[in-house]
Amino acid sequence: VAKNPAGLLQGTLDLIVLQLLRAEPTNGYNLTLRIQAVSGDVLRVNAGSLYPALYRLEERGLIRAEWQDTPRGRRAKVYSLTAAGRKQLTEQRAYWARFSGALGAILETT
Amino acid sequence: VNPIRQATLRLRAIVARRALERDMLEEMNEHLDRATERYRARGMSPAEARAAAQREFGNAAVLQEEARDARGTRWLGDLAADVRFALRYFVRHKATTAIIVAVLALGTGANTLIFSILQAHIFRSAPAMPDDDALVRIWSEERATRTDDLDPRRFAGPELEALARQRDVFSAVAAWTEDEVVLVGDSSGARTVGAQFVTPNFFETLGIRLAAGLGLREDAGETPDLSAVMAHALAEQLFGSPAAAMGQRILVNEVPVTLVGVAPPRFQGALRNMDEPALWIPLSARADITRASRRWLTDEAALSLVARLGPSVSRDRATLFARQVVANALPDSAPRVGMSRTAQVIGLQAPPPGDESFQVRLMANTALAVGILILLVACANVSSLMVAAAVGRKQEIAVRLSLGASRPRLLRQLITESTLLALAGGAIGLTLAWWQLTYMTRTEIDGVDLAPDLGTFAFVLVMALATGILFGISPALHAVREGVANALRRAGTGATGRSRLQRGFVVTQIALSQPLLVLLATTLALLVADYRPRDPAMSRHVVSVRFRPLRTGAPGQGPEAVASLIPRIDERPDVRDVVPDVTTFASRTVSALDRQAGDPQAPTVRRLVSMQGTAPGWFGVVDVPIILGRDVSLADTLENSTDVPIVIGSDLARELWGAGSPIGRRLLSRRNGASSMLWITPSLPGSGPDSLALTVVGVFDAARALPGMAVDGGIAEGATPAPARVYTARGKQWRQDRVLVRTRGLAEPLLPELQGFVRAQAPSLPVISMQTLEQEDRTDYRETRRMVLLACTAGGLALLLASLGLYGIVSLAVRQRTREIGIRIAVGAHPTQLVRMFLASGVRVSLVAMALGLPVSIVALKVGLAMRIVLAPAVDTWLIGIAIAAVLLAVASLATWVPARRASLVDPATTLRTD
Repeated sequence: VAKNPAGLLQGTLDLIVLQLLRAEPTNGYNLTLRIQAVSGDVLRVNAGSLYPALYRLEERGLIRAEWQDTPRGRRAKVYSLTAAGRKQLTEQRAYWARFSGALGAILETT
Repeated sequence: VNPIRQATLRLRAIVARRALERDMLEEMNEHLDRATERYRARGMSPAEARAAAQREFGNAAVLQEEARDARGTRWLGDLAADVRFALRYFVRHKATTAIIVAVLALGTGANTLIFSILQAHIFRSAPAMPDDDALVRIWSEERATRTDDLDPRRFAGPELEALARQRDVFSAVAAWTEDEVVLVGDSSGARTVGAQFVTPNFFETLGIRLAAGLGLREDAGETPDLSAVMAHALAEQLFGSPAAAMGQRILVNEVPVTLVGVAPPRFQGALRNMDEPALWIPLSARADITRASRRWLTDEAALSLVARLGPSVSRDRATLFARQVVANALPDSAPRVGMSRTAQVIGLQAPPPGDESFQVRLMANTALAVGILILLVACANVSSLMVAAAVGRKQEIAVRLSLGASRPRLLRQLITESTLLALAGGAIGLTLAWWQLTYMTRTEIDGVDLAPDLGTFAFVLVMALATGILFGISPALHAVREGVANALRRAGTGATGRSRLQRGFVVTQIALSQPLLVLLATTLALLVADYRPRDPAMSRHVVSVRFRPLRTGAPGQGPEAVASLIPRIDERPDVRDVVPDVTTFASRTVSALDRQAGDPQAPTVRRLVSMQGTAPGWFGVVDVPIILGRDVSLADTLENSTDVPIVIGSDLARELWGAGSPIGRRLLSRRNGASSMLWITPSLPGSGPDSLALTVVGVFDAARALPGMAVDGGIAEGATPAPARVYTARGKQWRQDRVLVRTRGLAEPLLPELQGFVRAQAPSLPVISMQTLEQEDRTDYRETRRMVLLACTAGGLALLLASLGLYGIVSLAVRQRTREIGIRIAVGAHPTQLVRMFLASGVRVSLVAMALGLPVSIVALKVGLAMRIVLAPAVDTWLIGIAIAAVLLAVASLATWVPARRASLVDPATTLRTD
C-alpha cells in the first residue's frame, strides 16, 4: 500500500487529480476520499500533498476553483477542469498509456 | 500556459495575499470538519474524531507552508519576515549598523558627487542650451609645417562667409569671439566682465528665446551696431528686472551701447563657459569697443563657430564640406611648406579632438577610478565588519540550521540584511550628495550647471546596491559554510581560516591612504606656513586697492590710468602716502663677489634671490624701516648704469658679509635656468642678462620684514634656503593693478569715502576690491581655516576608513579565537598579555601597509612637486612621511586596541563549557 505520497510516481498525482475532476468537479476533501475509493485503497493521498498539488494546478491554469454552497449549508471550494486542463489530461493520458504499455512489455520478457 | 493569466495569478497572489491566506485556512478547516464528521459517524467521541482527523490531515502548519510554496508567494512572506528580523538585528546592534551605514553613505555620496560633477562638465549641454542634435560645432586645426603637431585654431571672417553660403549643408552658421570689457551700467562703478561678440543670428541659430527684448538686429550690415544682449543675472542686479533693462544705455569700454535683449537665466553662451559672459554684442561693434583694427574680422582668425545642420545632413558630410572650405581659404604658397588646415564637425558637448579630448578622457577615467576605489574601500570595510558580525552570529545561525532552516534560506536572510544596509547607506549618501549639489548650484561655484541628475542618482543607487549585495555574499557564505553539527559544537569557540583577502584589502587601504595623508599634510603645512598676518599697527592704516586695468580698453581703463590716479589720491589730506605694491619679477642665483675678495679663504657664496619690483616709498607705507643706506629712488628706475641698485634685508646682509657694511657691495648674478623666465627687463647696459651686477644701496630691518604678498612656490629641497628677497626700482617692475594707500588715521572708516573718490576720479577703471590690509588678513585667516578644516576632514575620513578595516579584522580574529583565548586564560595567561597579542597582530598589519605605503607616498609627493600639482613649504619630506607614519600607527593601534580589549573580557568558564 503506497501510503506515502512520495511513493506515488512523480507526476501521477497531477494526472489522478485531473482525471477525477474531469469526471466531476468536487472539493479537496472529496478528492482524497475518491482517490482512495477508486484505487481500491491502494493509493492514499495525504492532505499534505493534495492541497499543494491543487494550488500548483490552479496556478498553471489547468483547474479553476470556486466557492460553492453545499447542500448542508456550508461553503466548500470546488475545483473543476479548465480547457487547458482537459488538453493537458489528454496528453498525459496518451503518454501514460504508451509508458505503461512499454513498461508492461518489458516486465513480460524473461 | 497563458503568460498573461500566469501574471494575473501571480499579481493576485501578491496583492490579495491575505484573502488567499484566509481562503486556504477556510478550505483546510472545512476538510478537517468533514473528516471529523466521518470519524464521528464511525462512533468516535468528538475529541477522538477531531484528533484522528488531524492525524490524517498531517501537520497543518507545514502543509500551509507547502501550499504557500505551491502558490509562489512564499518568498514574499519570507522577505517580510527577513526584513523584520533584519531590522530587529540592526536595533540590537546599533553601533555596528551605524558605522556600516555611515561608511556606505560616504562611499555612495562621494561617488554621486564625483559622477555628477563629471557629468555636468562633460556630458551635459551648457546651461539654458537646448538639447538639439542638429546643433554642431565646427572645429579647426592647423599645422605650420608638415612635421608640426596639429594645433587648434579659430576661423576668420571669409571662412565664416563661405561656410554660411552653402545653405543646404548648414542651415545657419553663427560665430562668436570673446573679450574682456569694462562695463559701467549704473552708479555702482566700473566692472570687468566677459563679452561675446557674436553674429546677429547667434541666438536664433542656437534656438535660444530671450527673456526680454527683440535681440540683435540682423540687417545692420557693416555699420557698427552698438547694441547688446545682457546676461539675466546682471540685468536683474543692475535694473531690477529683464524688462526694465530694455533700452537702457550702458558704457562698454566707455562706448555707449543700448540694451536690446536679456538672455534667459543661466545662459553662458553656446558652450560651458567659466568666465560667464555678461554681454553679447554684434561683431560689427567689436572694432569700436576693443579698439581693434577695422579689418580684424578678415585679418584675425578669432571666431568660434556653431552651426545648425541642414535637414538630413550627416556630420560626416558637413565635415567634408568644412574641410574643403578651410583648405581653400589658404594662401597659395602655404601648402608648399606643408602648412595644412583641417576641420571637423562635432557635437556641441563633444570634447574637441586632440590633446584636450585626451585630457578630458583622462580626467573622466581618473575620476571614475577614484570613485570606484572609494566604493571598493567602503565595501571592503563593510564586508570586513560584516564578516566579524557573522562570526559572532555563528551560534544563532547554527540553531536556525538545526531547527530546519535551509541554507539558501539563511543566505537569503543575510543578503537581505546587507541589501537593507546598502539601501540605507545609499539613500543617505544620495541625500547628502543631493543637498551638496543643490547648494553648489545655488552658490554657482565655477558657473557649472550642477543640478542633480536623476540618471546619475539611479546609476549610483544601482551600483551601491550591487556592490552592497556582492559584498554581503562573502560574509553570508562565511556564516553558513559549516555543517550544523560542527557549527553547533564550535559555536563561539572554534577558529576558521582567516580571510586573507580581507587582510589584503586592509593593507592596501592603509597603504593607499598614506600618499593622500602626506599630500594633505604638505598642503596643510604650506597653508599654515603661508599664513602670517601683518602687524596690525600697520595693516589697520593701509588700504589695498586692486584694479583690473584693461589694455584693450579706453585710455581711462589701462595701467596708465592707475598710475595717474596715484598722485590724485596722494593729494587727499587724509592720505599720507600712496604707492604701487611690490611684485616678484625675476629670480636669479647670485654670488657675493666682495666677500670672496675680502676673504680669499671663504668659498664663493651662491644664493638664490627673488627680485621684487618696488616703488619708492613702499617701505615707508608698510612700516619697514631702512636701517642702513637709502630706500629705492626714482633715479634707480632709469637704466643708465650697469649696476642695478637694490635694497636687501638685514638677514641677507649678515649672512653674506657678517658685521661688515653691505652698502656698495655687489652681487653678481647669472641666469638661473628656468626660474629666470620671469625676467622681463632685457636691456641692462653693459651687461647681458647673463651677467648682471646688483649693488646694495640700502638695508631694511628684516626683523620687521613683511611676509610676501604672493607665494614664491617655496619649494626647498633639503638644505637649500628659501630665496631671499631683494628690492629694486629698476625698470618700474612694480604692480600695476594694486595700490597701497597709507592713511593718516584708521583706514577702515575712510573706505566708503575713498571708494567714492576713486569712482569719481576714474569712472571707467574697474576696481576689484578695496580693503584694509587688516581685512585682507582676516579674509586670509578665514580662508586658511576653511582649507585646514577641509584638509583635516579629508585626512580624518581616510584615517577613519583605514582604521575601520583594521578594527574589522582584529575584532574578527578575537571572535574566532575566543576558545583559544579561554584556554590561555585558563592556563594562566594574564588578560593584558592577550590584549598585547592581538594588538601586535593589528599593528603588524599596519606596519606592513606602511612599509608599502611610505615609499609610494614619498614618490607621489616628489612627482606632485615636480609637476607643480602640490606646493610644499621648506619642510623635509621625510619628516612629513615619518610624522604621518606615527599618526597612522597611533590610529591603527587605537583601532586595534578597541576590539583587542575584548579578548581580556573573555570568561574561560563560558567558552570552555560548551565542550
